[in-house]
Amino acid sequence: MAECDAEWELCKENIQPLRQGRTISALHQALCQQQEGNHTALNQQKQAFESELRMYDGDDPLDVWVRYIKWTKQTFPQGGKESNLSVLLERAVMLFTADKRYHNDVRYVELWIEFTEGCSDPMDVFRYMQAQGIGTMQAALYIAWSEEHEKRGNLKMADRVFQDGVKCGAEPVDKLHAFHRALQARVCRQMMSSVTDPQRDEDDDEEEPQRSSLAELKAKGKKKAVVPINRANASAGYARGLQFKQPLGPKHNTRPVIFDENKVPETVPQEPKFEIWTAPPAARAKENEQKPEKWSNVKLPMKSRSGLSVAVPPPKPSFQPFVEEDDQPPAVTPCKINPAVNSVLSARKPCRLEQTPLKMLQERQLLMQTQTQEDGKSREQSMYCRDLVYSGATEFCFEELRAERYRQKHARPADHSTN
Amino acid sequence: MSQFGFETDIHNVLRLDMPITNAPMARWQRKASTSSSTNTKTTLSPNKSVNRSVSLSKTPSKTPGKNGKTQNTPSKAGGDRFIPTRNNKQLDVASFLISKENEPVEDSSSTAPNQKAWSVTLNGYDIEEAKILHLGGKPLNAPEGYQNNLKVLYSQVPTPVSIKKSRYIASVPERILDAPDIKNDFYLNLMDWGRQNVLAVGLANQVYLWDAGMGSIVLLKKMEDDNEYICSVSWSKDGNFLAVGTSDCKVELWDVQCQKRLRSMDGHSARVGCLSWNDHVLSSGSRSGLIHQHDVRVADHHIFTFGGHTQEVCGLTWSPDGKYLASGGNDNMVYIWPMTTGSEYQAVHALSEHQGAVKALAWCPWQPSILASGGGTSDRHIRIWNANSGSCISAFDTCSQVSSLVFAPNYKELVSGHGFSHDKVIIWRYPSLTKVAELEGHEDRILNLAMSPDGSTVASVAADETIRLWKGFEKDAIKKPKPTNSIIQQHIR
Repeated sequence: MAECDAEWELCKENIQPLRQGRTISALHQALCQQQEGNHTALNQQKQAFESELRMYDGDDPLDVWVRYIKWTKQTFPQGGKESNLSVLLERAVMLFTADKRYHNDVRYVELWIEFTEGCSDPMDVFRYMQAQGIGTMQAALYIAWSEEHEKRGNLKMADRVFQDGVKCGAEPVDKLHAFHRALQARVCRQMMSSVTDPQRDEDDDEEEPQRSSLAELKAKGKKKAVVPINRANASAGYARGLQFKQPLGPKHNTRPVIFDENKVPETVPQEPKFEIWTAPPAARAKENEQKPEKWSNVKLPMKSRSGLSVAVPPPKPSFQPFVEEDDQPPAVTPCKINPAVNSVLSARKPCRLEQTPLKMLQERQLLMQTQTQEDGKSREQSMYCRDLVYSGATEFCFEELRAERYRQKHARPADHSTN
Repeated sequence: MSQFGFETDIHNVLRLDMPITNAPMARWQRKASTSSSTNTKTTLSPNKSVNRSVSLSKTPSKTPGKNGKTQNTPSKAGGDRFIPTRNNKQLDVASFLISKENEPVEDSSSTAPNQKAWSVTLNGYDIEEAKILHLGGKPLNAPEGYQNNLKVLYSQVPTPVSIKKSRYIASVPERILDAPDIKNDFYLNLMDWGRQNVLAVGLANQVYLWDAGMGSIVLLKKMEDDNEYICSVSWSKDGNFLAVGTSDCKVELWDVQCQKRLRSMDGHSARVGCLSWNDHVLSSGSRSGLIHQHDVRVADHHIFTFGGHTQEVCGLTWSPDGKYLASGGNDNMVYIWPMTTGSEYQAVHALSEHQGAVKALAWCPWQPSILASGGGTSDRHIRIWNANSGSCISAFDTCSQVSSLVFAPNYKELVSGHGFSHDKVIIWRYPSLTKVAELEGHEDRILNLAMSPDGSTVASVAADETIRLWKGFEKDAIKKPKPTNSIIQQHIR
């Protein structure tokens, strides 16, 4: 094997590209640690960050989060579950939504933008940000938003977003103008190229069988009416309309008159009013998601060509492999898994899919609202330092908190003595 | 005064014995300059990145994190981001200097200072001391509004499906199975669906079998050492034997009926990331870049070795007729090896067009000698090859790391599984290669695909620790054959 100068090249497919690039030293370190299987150093650093999150008593708690998230991104090049990146982002974003002083802080806005990239519907989140006033003075928000529009092909909206940004006076103005000009240049170029290129004719569509909408589907088979899977050209030749009896009612000519907006002269276009969102949009639509289930509940019998399930008898092997004489039996004999006893491969516990962070924020907001309505009478009050325990990405136990306090106490007299 | 310039130009052109100053280079000049400049190791067309990495150990493309512009430079006359301006004069001087080195040195020390003075005045600088090719000027700025096409690596672009589907393809997976602790490594092949409708999955250091017909789960193998892990699983053609490749460089053969390990074959010096069966011959590719062929029937199993890859072998498949073995590696190469019993261990073809690691390889079951291959993060293309001639029939961009390919014979389609940045399963119509459907649902990158033995379902395993079963390829129940109105029958009656 040829020795590569770059270690990262051997696992280049496992490195997720980041928009801002990766520092090569951090990448090397991360890959070395992964190769050795040495998780202790990683865990120690993680622990240090987590405790810093809780013990921080300075002015700028956002700074700790930002550093933690940056470190996580660089240290876990594959992304994935162990990095907890999405959890961190969600927590960070959630924590400071009420905090006005961070609303137009560049770092906080960038955290939000990163969060939207992981959401299923980024448009919702952008609109929420605008309604809440998060990042409305930052150019980054408008740039990211118009990029989303551009990706979906909605160039008009992309342009309007930039205009909104200019109107609000977002900082830095030059950057906003530069990106706006770039967008306009792209649009012009696109229009010009579409004009100059001859139109390509689409032959393929005519050759492929097309499904027609709202046509009746022929059922197959005599006894069981099975809807055909291959539904091209599924028009039965005539469409039966369903007969409905008209309800007998008073037949006045009292059709409601619909306001004709074309008649009214166009006044000055009104400022679009932003509705106040009662709750931020959910990161994932929980009704559209499926949870994994037990392997033993799922049965997928093989179907032969006739569509009936077939139990294939195991064919005789075409060759006989050489069997080694094995002195030691394998350590774990193959066995059937009883899903009730062994929890491997059983139904996955509903993870944060249902409890999305934004949904939690929503609940918290509702709770706060109801609390204020009830004359400040809160239902429950936790007598332990709940915030500290749950502050970071993972839970901290009380001993860990105590250890942190101990360390800090002992660090301080050392500082005093040296000073 | 400009008319004089014009007149002189016209005269020069008509006279034909003076070099034309403003015209493009004559063909013989161009040829001379290309031969000289390749000697100086600067290519005239930096758009074509040097792909042959058999001699070089570095892969040529940029790191995935950087915003390189090798693939899409704005083409101005002779200038780009890496070599700003090249004009004819520089190339003339360069070719002169190069060719001068080969000529014998003339012994004229007396006139040397004179010559030097003349050359300095003529050229404006001392040629002897100057560099052969001097690149000056600022790098060109991208045209306004230029968007780097590598943006697709960081963000998902929702793409519309190109044609109306001709059948119903469910957009949600039919079932989702839990696959905890699966190793999130691109280079492993941890899932395979066998002929007897059993799905084998390697999770961390254990191999599980799921019988799709009965729904039962069997823990087949657990490695003793917790630091080792399963790297690849592969069913034999009839589904009786399962080959398991591990990180401690062994290939194990298991009999699934008796649930017994039959043998353990070693010989590799690094983890065995991919396996493929050809009747009784099992091929295994490892991180060392070597592909071993094992005949599982005899005690001395190691028949021969294919060497050619310089980095980890991540994709390995035998063609359905057993003629060719296709292998893809982290060195961006695809090799096609013949089925040999003799002593020729040379690859039939070495395909270097990909610019990312090639793990996704699939042979077409209904057309002989057609191979589909998909490239990694830096490449993102799917290419169709003719294995007999070694030519690339077609290539298209999928905007995302391709981690697995399977052919779906029921409707003649190609299914691809993707990683960074959009984690989808995409169904393409073959051979027109238009997108039929995009199956979303995975929350993290897809690592492997496997097709069910009856061709109706595709299973995809991803780094979000789930296996999703997509049922999109069911064949209709066949119609009852119409009663034949044969003349014979009528006559008999």
